[in-house]
Formats: sequence, C-alpha cells, structure tokens
Amino acid sequence: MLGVRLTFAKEGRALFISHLDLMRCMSRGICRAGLPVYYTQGFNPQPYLVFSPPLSLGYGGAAEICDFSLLDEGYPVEEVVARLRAVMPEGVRPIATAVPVHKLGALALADWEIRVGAGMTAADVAAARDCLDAPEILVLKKSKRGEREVNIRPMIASLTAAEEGGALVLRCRLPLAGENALNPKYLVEVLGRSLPQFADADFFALRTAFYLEDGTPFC
Amino acid sequence: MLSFEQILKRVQKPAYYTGGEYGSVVKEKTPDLLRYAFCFPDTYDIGMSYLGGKILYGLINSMDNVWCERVFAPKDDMEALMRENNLPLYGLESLDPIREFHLIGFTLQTELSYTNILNMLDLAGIPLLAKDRPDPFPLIHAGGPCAYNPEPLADFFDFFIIGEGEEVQPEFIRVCQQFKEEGGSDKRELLRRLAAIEGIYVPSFYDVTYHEDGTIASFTPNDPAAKSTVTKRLVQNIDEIYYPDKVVIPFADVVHDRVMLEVFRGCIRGCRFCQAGTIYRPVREKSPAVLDRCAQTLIDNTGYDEISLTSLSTSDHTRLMETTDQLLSWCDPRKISLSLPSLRVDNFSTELMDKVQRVRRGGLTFAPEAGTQRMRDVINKQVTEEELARTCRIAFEGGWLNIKLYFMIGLPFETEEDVAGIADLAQMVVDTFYRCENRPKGKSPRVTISVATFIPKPFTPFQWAAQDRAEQVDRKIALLRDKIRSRKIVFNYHDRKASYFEAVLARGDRRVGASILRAFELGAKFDGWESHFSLDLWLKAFAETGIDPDFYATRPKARDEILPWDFIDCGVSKAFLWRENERAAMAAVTPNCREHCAGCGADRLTGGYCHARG
Ligand code: SF4
Repeated sequence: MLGVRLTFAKEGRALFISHLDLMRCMSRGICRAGLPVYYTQGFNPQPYLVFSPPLSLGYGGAAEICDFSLLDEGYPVEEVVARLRAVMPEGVRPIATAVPVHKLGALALADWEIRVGAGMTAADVAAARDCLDAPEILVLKKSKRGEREVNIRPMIASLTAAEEGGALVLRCRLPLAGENALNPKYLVEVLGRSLPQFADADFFALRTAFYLEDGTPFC
Repeated sequence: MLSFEQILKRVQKPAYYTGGEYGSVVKEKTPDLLRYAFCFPDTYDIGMSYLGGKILYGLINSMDNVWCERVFAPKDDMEALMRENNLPLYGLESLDPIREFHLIGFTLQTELSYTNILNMLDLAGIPLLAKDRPDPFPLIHAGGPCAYNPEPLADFFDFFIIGEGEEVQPEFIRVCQQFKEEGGSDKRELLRRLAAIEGIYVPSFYDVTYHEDGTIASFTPNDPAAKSTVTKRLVQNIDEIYYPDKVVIPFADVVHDRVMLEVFRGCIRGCRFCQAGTIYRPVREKSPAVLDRCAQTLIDNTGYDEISLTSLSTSDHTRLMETTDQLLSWCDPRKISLSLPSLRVDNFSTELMDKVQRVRRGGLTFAPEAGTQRMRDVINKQVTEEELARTCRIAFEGGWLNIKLYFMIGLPFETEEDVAGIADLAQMVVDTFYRCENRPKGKSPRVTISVATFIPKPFTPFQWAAQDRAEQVDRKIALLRDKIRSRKIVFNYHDRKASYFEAVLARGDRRVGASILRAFELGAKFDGWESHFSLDLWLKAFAETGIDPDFYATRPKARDEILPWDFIDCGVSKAFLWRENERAAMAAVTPNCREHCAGCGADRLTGGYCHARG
C-alpha cells in the first residue's frame, strides 16, 4: 500500500462548509479522480481518509492535509494532485501530493494569520500588540470538560502584529492538539474585551502551516 | 449593515447559501446572456434532492447563452438577516440578485410551498402580483405536478408549463431569447408568443365567471393567442431524452445524496387517489442499456457510492432484473450500492431482495394504503393480504425486522370496518413473523403503521370527492388507535390539520389566490413544517378574503360542474375519470394497463401507441 499526503487549500466558497462536509467532498473527489484508493473494511466501506484537525466554520486553510492510501504501490504520487485538481470544487484546491514523512498524530503547532477589523491605525496595532504581550491573559476557554479560566499567554509560541489594508493582521503560532489547543478566536476575544476599537470587530483566520512539537515543519 | 460573510457566520447552515459546489455551472456574463433562476420553494437540503431540478438545471445550462442558477428558500435565521441587511434573494452560482434575471421559474411539488413562493419573490424584491409587473422581464413562471391546477396561483405567475419540461423548456427559452434580442418591451406580446407553444398556459388570457352558488359558470379566453384547451407536454422517446451526465454535488448533507436513476415515467397501476399515476400517463420505460450507460457516467462524474432506481413503482419495470444484474456487475466491485425505494407488495421477490440487500440494509416500506380488501378495491390498489403476508415472510426470513406500512385515512366510501382493518393488517404482519420457520432467532419484529389523511386531487377519479371533516378523521384515528393491541406495532400519525387547507389549495380556483396572499401577509411560510404551520392563520386568511374553505375541501362536486382545471388536457379523459369514480363506488377493480387497456385516453398524446399495452 502506498501512503499519500495531499496538501490542499480550503478557501473561497468552501470556507463555510463543515468538517463532515469536507470529508464527504474529499472522499467523492478521490472517487471521481479514479484513484485506486484503499477503503475501510466493514459493512459500509468508505475511502479511508485522515485529516488535519477541523477548522472552525468560516476559517480558511492554506495548507490543510488529507492522508489516504493507494492500493497500487507503484502509482506516481506526483500525478495524484493533477488528477484531483481536475475534479475538486473551486474552494477545495489541491496543492501537492507527496509520500508522508511525519505521522499526522505528531501535529502539534499551527501558524495562523488573523485579520481583524477595518480602518485600523498604527496606534491600534501597537495597542493590540501590547495587549497580547501582557504577562497573563485570562480567558474562559471551552473544552470537552467544560468551561474554565485559563492563562493563554504561555500557549502563544510567537506573535507579530501589523496593519495591512486597514486590518490588524496577527501572525502567530498556536498549539493545535490536545488540552492546550488554542483557537485563534480567543485572541480576538481578548482584544475585543480590552480595547474599544476591537469590540465586535470581525475577523478572518487562516491556518497557514503545521509544525511538530519542536518546531520542525510538518511534512 | 453586515457583509455577506458576516451574515454567513451568524446562520446555522451557511453551506446552504454559498454555492460553489462541484458541478455547479458558472458562465461568463455577456450582454446576450439570458439569466434563468430555477427556484425550489423549500430549503436547500430538500431542493437539492429533487431529480427534476437536476435534469432541468443540466438541460438549460447545456444551451448556449443561457445561464441557469439555483435558488432555494432560506431558513428563518438567514431570512431575518437578509431582510435586516437588505440582501435580496440571489442565485447560488453568481450570488447576483435574481430580480436582475430574465426568467424566474418555480417548481410546484406541493401546495404546502405556495406561501414560500410569495416569500421568495418578496425577498427578491419582485412584486408578487403579475399585474404589478409591467415589464417583460423578469418573467415569472412555474411548472411541476401542482401546475395541473394552476388556478390558485393565477394572480402571481405570468405563465405555467403543463407537463414534462424537457422539450418545452428549451422552446420557450428560445422564444424569450429572440424577444430579448429584438429588444422587445411589450409583455403582452411576449406572452402571446409563449401561449402559442403547446403546454404553456397564460392565466391572464382567460376570464372566469361564477354561478351564484360559487361554482364556475364559464372559463373563456380573452386573447386571440389563447387556446381553449391547454394540452400537457410529454416526452415521446424517453430513451433519447436529455439526462444529465453530471450533477451538482452538495457540500452539505441533503435528503437524497446519491445518483438518482429514473427508470421509467408514468405508472401502469391506476390507483384512484394518485395524481402522479394519471398525469404522467402513459408509462414510458428506459431500456437497460440506456440506464446502465447513464448510471456509469453519473457514478464516474459524481463520485457517489449509491444509485437509487427511481420511479413511481420501480418493481413494475418490465426488465428490472436485467437492469439490476447489469448494474450490479460493476457496482459490486466498485462498492456502490443499489437502492430501490418504491417496491410493490405484489411482485416483491427473494431475488430482488437479495440485490438490494447485497450492499446495505435498512427497513422495508410498503404501501397497502388501506386496511381491508374492499377498501383496497375501492381505491384500485391491487394488493391482497396474502401477497403482503408472503412479502413479509420473505423479508423476515431474509433477516429484516422492521416493516413500515403506509395507509391513508378518510378515503371516499370508507367505513369504520375499513379503518379497523388497518390494525388487523398490521397484526397479521406481526403474526406472520412468529409463524416464519426461519425468522431471526431471539428477535422481535417492529411494524410501523404510518397514516396520512387523504386529500382529493385534480385529475384523479376522486377529484369530485368530499374530504372528510376534521371530526370524522379524529374519530377514525381514535378508533384505529384503540384497535392496536400489540406492542410490536408502532402507530405514526401526525395530525397537522394541514391536509384541510392543502385540500383547499389543491382544488381551489382563482379566487383562492387572494387567501394565499393574505396568509403570506399574515406570516405563513413553510406550511409543510409542523413548527411553522398554523391552521388558525389560514382560517383567518380565508375568512378575510371571503373564501369558504369547505366549498373546496368538503363539498362533493357534481359531475357536470366545471372544475377549475378542466381547461387542461392531461391525456386521460374526464369521462374515464368519472367511470373510475363510479367503479370505485362499486368497489370494482380496474386491471392494470399491462393486463388490460382501460381506454384512459392518454394514448392520444403518443400517437395511439401505448407502451403499457405493447
Ligand atoms: S391507453 Fe390504456 S394502456 Fe395506455 S395508459 Fe391508458 S389505460 Fe393504460
């Protein structure tokens, strides 16, 4: 069996589809592409696909991941992406296919680009940076075990702030998996709570890259 | 004001409103492009499951210089945000407001969607009444089964399409293209040209007068372009007619998300309550080779893993075994399952069951429709108790445990005995299980009885019949409930009181349009949803517009009465329907078309040849 890792973008009209919708879409696309894909066994066989962690509704992904296996060991992996490109809807855009190096389970961190608000000035950007630079940032964080107050400051691995086209653009690296996973919405929430110019500000979060625990780019 | 993205973030089902699905068609906006909005007056998940929509979408988009887009009814949360933020109803492909389009077509699948139509026009910013739209475009029209009595909607639509759309759609679109190219601006002139096309009905070209008792006195053309009779369109060669080779694949979960393969159109049976059984006559089958080719193309182009063989009664296809064998020969290795949703009790076989079962297993559904043999003879549903027992035995021995049985209550000539018979029949199915030698050991069966209130429909032998009053129905339901003894029987009855108003709309005339408008103004929409429907609201609307709902629903109609839909020739003659009505009164069975031609008249539209008789 041949493992294949597809990198794809989730964008445009597909921003608002759920993870389940995405899984269905990918599975059908792989069938349309006529790839000799490996199916799950059992009563209701489906192409066996594994994805990078779900994006919230409305978030984009510039380098999302879908792993699957081909039954034909000798299948040219590079060709897979071309075949998929021809049969995917515009918002789910195949970028590349390769043989996976790391295990999907080893995904630990993700880079995000978060665009917040409109009509922002340099002063607003500085204020935002200071706000997110505070030694302690407490938020009410939802998890499987309920809501609790957490200091998210130590979770932010890196963060820059800039003004681009009138929006505040935060680029940051946040934990992706497990108990500490941090949704970028919490950063926006903190800004909205602390600074009047960000109250009710709209935002768009784009996940741009994945890393291992030690910061090695995931591939 | 919120932006489109901001609105999407705030709704429950954003994927219903964004389009961009695989298979959706995008065309370049050139000046000679004719824009067409195909509107389904219900939500996305329901509309995207509708086969006719897929056919017409593909067909219209296969034409040059025409761009057909899909439009569905937004759910409450989306509608509120659209109104608050002045976002007019738009086409899912371009996201452009449909009021800028040339043609806006609605499909009429149920009377319960009529207020949704008005709501959608209102959301689009288009005047609801045809007389308030002086310009030729957007031209608003409708087709589909409910267009066989278009009269309640006569005030709103510019024209109706009576019959099957595949041939007539391109014809009238071309007329509109021509008119647009000429730079025409006289709407009446355009409607005249359209009225010349067979199957097109322009309601404003007719005047109706009434007798003192409220019945119709005359129905006459007021324009030389209008024909006195509008004859339905039907596809002559079903094997050669357009069938989509690809369809839009929704991102979101929809009701029917699979390849739908229409195996034939029409029905050989002649159930006396069934409108579809009349209006799609005569039956026309697709050949196994064509079906196999369509199925392969669609599976390749969609990536679906299921094919559903659809028709009014799939097991009546004369070459069904051959077709399923051919399909299974490649579906099995490709892990594609077959489903046959409409099976009959009387020709269900182990062989057929195996084919469906090979891949997936749910419950089995059958529709005896009535509880006693006498009542089944009245409605001409030719299913016997022995056949049902035999079928259930096959199913139980094959490992099925859940059987669902559909019934109607309030049928013409129904007695208490007939109602009680429903419980007896379900009990018989339960007993059959315990009498099966090879029944699944240690398990018990579950028999669900699903009961619907009968609604008399135009173009059926019961079109003259009175609908049961609510008290009568209540009494019958109580009686039936009381008769059910076994815990293995589940009784399903949703008393939505909606069937009463549905009956008014189904057999209404032009005057009922005012009530629909009033009901919409009072807030009616999604009348098919229990959460939204309010009978009180409708009663208020009827009262305020001077409509007596009983006149339409519970009053038996006289043989010589002019019915609002009499100007339509659907092939099947009124004389035949009356004959069938009389036979129903005698509980006399009329054999199916393959056994014996009953002379319904539908073969006039197919040059005297009828596939059913061979
Ligand atoms: S013409 Fe005869 S066989 Fe054909 S549909 Fe009518 S009754 Fe049936």
